[in-house]
Amino acid sequence: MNNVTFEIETQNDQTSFLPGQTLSGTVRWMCSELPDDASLHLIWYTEGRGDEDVGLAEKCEFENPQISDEHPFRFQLPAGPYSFSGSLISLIWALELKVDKEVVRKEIVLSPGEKEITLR
Amino acid sequence: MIAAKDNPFRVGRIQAMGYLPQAFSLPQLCEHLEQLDYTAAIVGPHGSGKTTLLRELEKHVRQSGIQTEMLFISLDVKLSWRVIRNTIDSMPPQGVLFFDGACHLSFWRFRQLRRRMRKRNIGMVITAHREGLLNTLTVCRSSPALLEDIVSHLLDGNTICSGSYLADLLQTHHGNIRDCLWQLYDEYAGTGNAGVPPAT
Repeated sequence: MNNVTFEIETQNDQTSFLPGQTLSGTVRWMCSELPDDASLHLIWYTEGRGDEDVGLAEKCEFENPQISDEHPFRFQLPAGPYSFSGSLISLIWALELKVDKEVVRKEIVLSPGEKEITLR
Repeated sequence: MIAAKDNPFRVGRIQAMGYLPQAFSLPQLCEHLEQLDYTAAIVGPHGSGKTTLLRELEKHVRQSGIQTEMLFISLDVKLSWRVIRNTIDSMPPQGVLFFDGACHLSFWRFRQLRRRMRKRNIGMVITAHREGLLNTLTVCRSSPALLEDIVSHLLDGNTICSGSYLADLLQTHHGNIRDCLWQLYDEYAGTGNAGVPPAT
């Protein structure tokens, strides 16, 4: 099994974004073995009382990943769906870095007010 | 109001917790499943953990290098025979089909399915409410202790529900742990607490 330490860093540590804005940053990882695959996904998913839904907005594959590696990334954020939370369901945007079978997520907010919309 | 993503009883968190061993550990069940030639039934009433165990077994079998497929039907969710047949036909010999809710198939469809699996030398693990469709791998049973264990895991050991409250809850829901967790979700969503009896 490949032991992986990884990190997703967004530019200026920004975690709240407007629809259509550019999201950029750097991903880094350090593995115990040479990884076969590494990729970064921009996803949204739901959490709550019902089954989870997942959507993939963008994907970036890193070719020839090295044991210790670093890559810049840049995504154009879509118009929606917006980040929101109610008592029954939350919609969460995240960057998901996969190195072999190991995964790390960094949550971000996508909404017109750059704040998660609260449903009441 | 507690946001859904912060509710400890949210579905994703329950699924991530996986199977809590009852009478047998997961490795013991995997070994037993292998002895049954990967053709067996997980038996139990509604909300007793059959689907959770089926998913865990599927993951273990897949990680051991065996090709698996997963199908799901229920009283509300139907699958056409064409979809079931195409899934089986896409599998290699020695693969294993994990069929959640296969007991909802009609008697004739189930016989047809079993014949097809045998012919193609594919294993099949199903969930069922009664014994008799296939050899029984294990019988899932709910209990107040199991519900307490699950709630304790979900609340990171900070159990705020009393054991007697959970026992009553389980009785109210006729032993259905899934329904109990839904009620606890709703209680937590409203108050940030679950299982705290209303003040008298």
